Amino acid sequence: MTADREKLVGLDTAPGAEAAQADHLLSGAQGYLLGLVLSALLTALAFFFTGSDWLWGPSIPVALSVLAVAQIGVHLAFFLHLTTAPDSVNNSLALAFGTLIVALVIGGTLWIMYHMNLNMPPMQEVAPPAVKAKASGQGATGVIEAASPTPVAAKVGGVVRSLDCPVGAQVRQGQLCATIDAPSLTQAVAQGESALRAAQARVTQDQAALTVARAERRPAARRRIGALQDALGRDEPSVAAAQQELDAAKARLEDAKILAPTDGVVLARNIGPGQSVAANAQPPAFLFAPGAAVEFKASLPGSLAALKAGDRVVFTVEALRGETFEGEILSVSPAQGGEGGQAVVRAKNPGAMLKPGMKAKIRAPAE
Amino acid sequence: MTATATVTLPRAPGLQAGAEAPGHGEGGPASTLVIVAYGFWIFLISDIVMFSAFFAAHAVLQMATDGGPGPRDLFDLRRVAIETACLLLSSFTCGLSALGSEARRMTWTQAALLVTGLLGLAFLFLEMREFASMVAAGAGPQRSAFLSSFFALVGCHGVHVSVGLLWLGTMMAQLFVKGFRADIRRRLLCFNMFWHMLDIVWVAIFTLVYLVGVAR
Repeated sequence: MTADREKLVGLDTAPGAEAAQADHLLSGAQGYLLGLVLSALLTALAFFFTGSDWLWGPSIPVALSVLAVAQIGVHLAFFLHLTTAPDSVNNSLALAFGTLIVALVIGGTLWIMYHMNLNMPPMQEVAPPAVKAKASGQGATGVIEAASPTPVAAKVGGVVRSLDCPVGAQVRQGQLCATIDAPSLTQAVAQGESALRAAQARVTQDQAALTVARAERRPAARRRIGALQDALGRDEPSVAAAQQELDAAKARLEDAKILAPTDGVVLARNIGPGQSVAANAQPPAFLFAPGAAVEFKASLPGSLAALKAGDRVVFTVEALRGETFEGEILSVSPAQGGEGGQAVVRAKNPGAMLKPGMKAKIRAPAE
Repeated sequence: MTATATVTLPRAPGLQAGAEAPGHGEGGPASTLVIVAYGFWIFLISDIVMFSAFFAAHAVLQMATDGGPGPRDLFDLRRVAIETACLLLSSFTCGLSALGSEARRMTWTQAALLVTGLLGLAFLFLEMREFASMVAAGAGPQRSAFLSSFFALVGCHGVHVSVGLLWLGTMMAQLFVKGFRADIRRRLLCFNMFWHMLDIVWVAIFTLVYLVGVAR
């Protein structure tokens, strides 16, 4: 009825009101469905262009804007039923006025800010030195990052016997990641064992001869006892020395094991099972990313300029007020113009409180 | 114009019967529906003008990351795609509810409104999770001018969606209690326009903030 009346006398249409014969749900739903399909298509195109190289890179924002305007048009036509018919003139005029204001606000802002940026002198010329250092990322505060990877190389040459810790695996500190079959190490152990046995045999012999000599009562035997005691005095320390050497050789067997240096994740593995490797070969056998540690780079305050690699410092973090943290200086690069040098600080991060992107500042040396 | 005589029109007092030139005020005063909807239309356009200021601020500050995380580090386009789908589908079901109320079909209308509300809730939930993960990663609104403008713009839209959901629940209750009264239908029409407008603003947000931010 209302639709009939509006058709006859051309009354104004309420914005957003149904235009179609509304008694028929399905015919009305067709319009919405068409709008939905068109919008979905335009949305899918926009997401597709963002991640693709189908368009020339710098033109992608323009293409996306065109798709957005098209989709807004679809929404206005199919969801809000805005038409160009005379009964909808007031609605369209209001929208046109709104669009003008939106264009003035956004276009005007961009235009003005663009020209203000153009007319600004370059930052380096106006900024005082302290600010300049900050602008180039070398200020007293540093941004926390994940700790840099730790390389671990084989300490001895040999053939890789057992292998674990694939790339991406979570490892714990001291976890066995690979064993190397090093002939030199096992030989040293075997040699040490035979030397020890020989020395022990000599001592047993000396002691037996001494017992025999003591049982005799002749003067010649007395002289032999003296000589035998001297021999025993020489041979007994040699047993101890052989034992020591054997222990050392056994300890060196540990070098054949490659262990994870910290809790973390395996980033790279450059050895395969059965492969022969040289001692301290490049690239290193493993690369570990320390899991529970973070790093940041910041300049040392002037009062702490004497600190060097290995020293511990206390630092604070902007986002965590009232908390102090302790870290170790990994390296210090030379100072630039008066200030202290650039220090790389690594800190343990239990509970993952320190997150990448937070700003840290070195405060004092640790007690 | 003989046809005009066959229907009874609301007329302004003093207007001569059979006056010529119908439409645009001359066919009598507009119906309450048209007046209310037009007034709300003007409000929506002014709301969009307000959004345009946030858009302008974000466009200017998009590069001002202060060495912190930028769009590429922060935005998960898959989540944005799901959010977009939720809002687009809810706009569609909202339209279906308008059809239902036009045909006085209570079950149809309520069901369409309910689905609209659920999709809106899903959108809001995803947005909250995005905000929470960003703040937890140290990329909250205080981190850089870029992030301040991002949270202001997208958060403002999120507040609109939240208010829209409250309105939606109220409308479902009113419709249930009072039925398809003329005033209830006017409110439903206004709610429909509001919800479609939110989707239009979201189209601009996902394009200019998320997609252009990542493509840049």
